[in-house]
Amino acid sequence: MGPSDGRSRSLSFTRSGGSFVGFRGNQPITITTDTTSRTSSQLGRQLQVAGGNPTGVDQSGATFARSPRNNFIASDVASDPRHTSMGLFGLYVHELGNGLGATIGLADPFGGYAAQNSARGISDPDVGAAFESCVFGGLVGLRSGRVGSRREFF
Amino acid sequence: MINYRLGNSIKLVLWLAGLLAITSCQKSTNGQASPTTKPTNPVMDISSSPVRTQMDSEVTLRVREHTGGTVTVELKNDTDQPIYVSYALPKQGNKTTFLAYGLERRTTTGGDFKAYGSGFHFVPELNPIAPRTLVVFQVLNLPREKGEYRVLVSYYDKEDVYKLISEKGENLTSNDERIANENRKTARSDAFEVRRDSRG
Repeated sequence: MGPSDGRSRSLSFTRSGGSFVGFRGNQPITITTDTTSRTSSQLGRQLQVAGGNPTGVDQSGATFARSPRNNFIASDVASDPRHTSMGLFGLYVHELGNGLGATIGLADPFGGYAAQNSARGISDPDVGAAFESCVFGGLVGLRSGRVGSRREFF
Repeated sequence: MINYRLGNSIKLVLWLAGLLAITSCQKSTNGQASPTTKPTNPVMDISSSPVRTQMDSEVTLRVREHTGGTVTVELKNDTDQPIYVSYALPKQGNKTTFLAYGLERRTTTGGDFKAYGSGFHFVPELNPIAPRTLVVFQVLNLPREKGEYRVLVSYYDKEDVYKLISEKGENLTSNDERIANENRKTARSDAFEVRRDSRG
């Protein structure tokens, strides 16, 4: 359901990409997730350039605060046949949560959920981890699909 | 002649006093409780930045407080120009809710520090930290693995590089990335210890 003018909300995700359309009041919010253009190594480097990943470690996904409506899942992660569809969907929900958190202007989408996530043993402090935990009960393992405190990426 | 020598002696004393003052000032600036902080290199900056003296070219990171469950860190820009760091602008005061940092852990053999943990994949845009000011932040979710750690923060001190990154974001060309990589600097804190292994 969407606004009364007939527009509707939608969410879709495959290994080729994801999209979400929702509404805040009457205003549409669209978040697109790119799963093909950047590897985990490239995302790690880009986050390092952005000042956010000083050690430059690879990243399975990324949301950039400058453009949160277009976020990323690493192409090598999305295309890896060892990674389950459910695990990738968990990662997508995570980045969607970060994109939504920044788009709607949460007070602290970056670290404001540290305590809440930590209570589940999750070290990631962002709203995406909280959102994923809300949907699945924790982080979804990429390889096993099991819910827990780690994603089995590193 | 005597007056001339006396004058020279006074000048010499004044010169030595001045030198002493400068030296002690340098010590108070550099010698905070953070021996592992990394001073910026004024030589590197001469090409495109105002010339800075050794005395005013310090960006330091130090562990301000370490209680059982929290580590509070202070990033101080003790230079004459802004630096640019990924952090959330404080609503008031100088304590931010989030500043992007990395962790390093000393290898079990007691050698060098190595990158630790998965870092952040969702961070604020670069924001300036004004000259001669500091920002305080917390290490979120302390590591559960027993060991010796230190915090590192990346920053830029050239406004044109900051503008380049801010304008192009994740759409930097490879040449833009090269420029950013060449100009990015890192401040490291002194070490702090996690004494008890609390991994699940």
